[in-house]
Amino acid sequence: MPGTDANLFPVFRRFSMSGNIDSNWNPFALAGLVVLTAVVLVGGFILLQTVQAYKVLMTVFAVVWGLLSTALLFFVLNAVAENIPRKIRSVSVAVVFAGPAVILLFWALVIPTLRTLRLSFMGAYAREYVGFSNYEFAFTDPIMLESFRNNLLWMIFGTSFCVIMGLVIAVLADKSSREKVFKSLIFMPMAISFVGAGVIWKFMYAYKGEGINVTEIGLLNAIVVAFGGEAQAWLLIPFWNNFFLIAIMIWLQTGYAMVIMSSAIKAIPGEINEAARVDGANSFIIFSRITVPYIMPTIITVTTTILIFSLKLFDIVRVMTGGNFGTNVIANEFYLRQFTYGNSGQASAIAIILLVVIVPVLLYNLKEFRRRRVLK
Amino acid sequence: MKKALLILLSLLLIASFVLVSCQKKEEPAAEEMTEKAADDPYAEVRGTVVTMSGPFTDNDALKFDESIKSFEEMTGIDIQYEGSKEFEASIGIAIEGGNPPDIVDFPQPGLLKNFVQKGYVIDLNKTLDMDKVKSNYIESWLDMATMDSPDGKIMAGIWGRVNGKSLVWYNKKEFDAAGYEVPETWEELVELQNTIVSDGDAAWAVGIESGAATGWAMTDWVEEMMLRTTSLENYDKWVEGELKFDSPEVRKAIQTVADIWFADGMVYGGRKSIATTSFGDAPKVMFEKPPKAWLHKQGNFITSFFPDNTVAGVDYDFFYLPSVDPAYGRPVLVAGDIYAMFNDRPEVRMVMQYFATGASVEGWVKVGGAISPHKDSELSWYTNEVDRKVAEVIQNATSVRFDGSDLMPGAVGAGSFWKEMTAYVSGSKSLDEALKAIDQSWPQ
Amino acid sequence: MKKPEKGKRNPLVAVVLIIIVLVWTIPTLGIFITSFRESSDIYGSGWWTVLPHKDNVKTGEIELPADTDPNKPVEIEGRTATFEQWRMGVEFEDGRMLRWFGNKRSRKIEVFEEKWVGFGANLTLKNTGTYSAAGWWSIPIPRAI
Repeated sequence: MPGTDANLFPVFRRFSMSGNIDSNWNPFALAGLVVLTAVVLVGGFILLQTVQAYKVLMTVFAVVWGLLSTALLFFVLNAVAENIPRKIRSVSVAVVFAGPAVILLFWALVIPTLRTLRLSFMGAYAREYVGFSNYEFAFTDPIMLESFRNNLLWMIFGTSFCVIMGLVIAVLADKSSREKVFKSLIFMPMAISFVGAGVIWKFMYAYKGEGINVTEIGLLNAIVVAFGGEAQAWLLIPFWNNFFLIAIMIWLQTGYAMVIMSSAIKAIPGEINEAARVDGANSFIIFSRITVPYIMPTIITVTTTILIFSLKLFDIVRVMTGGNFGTNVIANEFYLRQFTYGNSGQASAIAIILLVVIVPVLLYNLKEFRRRRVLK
Repeated sequence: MKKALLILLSLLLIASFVLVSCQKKEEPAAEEMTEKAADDPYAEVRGTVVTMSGPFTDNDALKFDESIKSFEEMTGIDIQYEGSKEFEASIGIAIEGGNPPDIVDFPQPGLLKNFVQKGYVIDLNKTLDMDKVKSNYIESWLDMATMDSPDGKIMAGIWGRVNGKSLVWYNKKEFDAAGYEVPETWEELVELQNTIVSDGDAAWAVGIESGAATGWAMTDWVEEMMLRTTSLENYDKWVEGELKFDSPEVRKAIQTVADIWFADGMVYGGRKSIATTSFGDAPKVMFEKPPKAWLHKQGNFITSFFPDNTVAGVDYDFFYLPSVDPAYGRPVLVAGDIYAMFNDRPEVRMVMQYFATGASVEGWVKVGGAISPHKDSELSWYTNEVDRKVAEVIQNATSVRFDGSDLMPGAVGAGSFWKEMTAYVSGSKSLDEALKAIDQSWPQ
Repeated sequence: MKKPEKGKRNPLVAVVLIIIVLVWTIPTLGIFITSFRESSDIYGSGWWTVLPHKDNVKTGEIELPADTDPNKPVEIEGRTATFEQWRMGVEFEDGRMLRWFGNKRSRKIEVFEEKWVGFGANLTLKNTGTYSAAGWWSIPIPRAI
């Protein structure tokens, strides 16, 4: 739009983007300026890379260089775009301004993905090609199969409980007077890092052992013992220990689901609820027939976000059990293969599989997002 | 006005460019002038920088800086050490990215081996005065530093600090009060265990939980028993992958551990608690009133997990884990830091040569927190009674061997060995399944 | 936007919400309390013992004669029990509990009574210092020994 850039950067008010003003740069001066920009950018980068000493000075220099080279780049690109013949100006302007960002994205996202794809067809030290054997391994190795199963559990139970709990709490809190307090307390765990959550829940699941006069220090075991039961090593129970870990993710993520759905619920016009009450509907019918369908797009968005999150989940498993006792997940196995075992071929294959699994969910999310924008 | 601001900032940019580029040239010129007068044996390395990287940080990094200060002052070399808590992940990136530090401190040789195999490490046989180095270490240390590279076997590094693992800790005060005696032989140890159990307590405090590294304490026990029940050649073969896990020697070693751990009443908390008790929490029961367990085998770093008010030699002490079969001598399982060279320059060579002498770690030893493998270090340097005893144990060992799981390839040593042993201890896998799985996971 | 049911506070809603919120905040509360406790206490007893509760408090000691044989039933203050039973604690009618201290080599019996224990002692700020042996997750054993 004409004039927007001028508003953002008053410095460039002179060089407004309206189609009528032609800038009068000498082509040679312009070319020189482009070269100068390139030199500043590349030279500064190389300088920062090679000079090891004078750390404070280099930090200051890095900040100054970073800010100014970006401004210089913008200035020069602007001037270049100005100078291009009017006929292709709109296209060229788009290219010139979106260009650096797209290139950066390409270099930082697309190229590494392609590189990982290539690595997934190579051996452990990326020296020879091994075809599909890494993928074969990923789909037949018992540890990987266990990880797939566990990830499925995380996806299904983790996501559904998060969303359901979030919805229930959002609806209940909406009806209560001390709403803000409740919502803040539920949202608070989101501020805790996963490793911190691991420590917190370690004290919930702690198991001391069998023997005489053993005082359990884990809250769950203490409750069980107080009711006369026997203390258990919760994280050791095969298969069910996954659910104890999923509980941690639910504890962390419900706040997020709740907050988003709460704001969606508040957006429901009050008249509809009033009309329903007049017609004799009780709270439960209002909830199921009005509230839920109304905020369905929000529910779907939240579900897909948490679904993607549960697929990538790594910290909780690594910190609580390290993937042992049958709790391994894909992301943890990937980390082990790459950084602990040093097998980049297998690790890359696992990463690509994870990407392929996530992409449909991502696309669906995007589609919904775009659709909602259009409707609203 | 705004334009003037822009021009001013641009000038600032150019000025800082010039300043930074000029700085580098000024320094050597200044140095040259002050040193030209003296006839300096370190003239050519004075003012140079040697970069170092390693896994220890905070307090330990400070101690390291202190201990190398005298060398830095003497030679004028500036050794810049940078530690990282995520060492194993970040060092791979630095080395493979083509920008390795000059010297790297590896906490386990297995990781170094990966890089030696890819050809990144410089052969010390070709760069250092090997006579001096060889005379300062016992054979075992030199053997463990020799690794396979694309150009054949090379001396990949030298040992800087070490610590011993074949130590059994006990609550000295309570031990003496109860009238128990420190065992010297395996039979005496078994007798002591049985006495403690018949007295009503658990004999051992064992915990192997450690987050992602759960199981490493079990592998330590297995390696100790391997050293004590079979020959050094077998141990080396096992670590190389030639002796399979599913073999009578390894089975015997694991069985020896299982006989202790799974026996009724031997371990505090029973078998189920072993895999859920953190390695750092396990020895705490020894210091409760009354003690609920009496013995704990662990490396000497565990003293930092003991309660704060305990004093070495008074409240706690250790004894050497006795050998099972006297035919295999008194082996000691050790761990340590090995320094490897990645860039070849005269000053880097000088620093590496220095690390091969006891003087390089003397400061650290005196402050506490390091044990020196060098022959030319003195037992009198150790201010901590326990450290001195450990150094003595290591010096009097007939053979030392590194923690096996650190020597094996990552997929086994930091992977299947730990995981399968954890599964076996927690009861979810049988010994046969576990051993087969480990053998299968050995990378080809 | 507006809450049409303002004023009509459903008590059931409030109860359910309070239960949920409690479940959500108890873990964090636990770690908050644990951060103030001594390291040996953390491992010895649960964090909830910091709060006021009824607990066995040691009120006395009895020293048994040195020739008592723990392998046979032992008689103390009129009650006879085996060593294992004494170990777990034997309750008396007057509200006291007698428990054998330590293993068979000790001859000490401790006397306990149930009393209200206030806010637990041994709260410390030491944990906020540089905890170089901080915890199971921060030491990448066996890397950084």
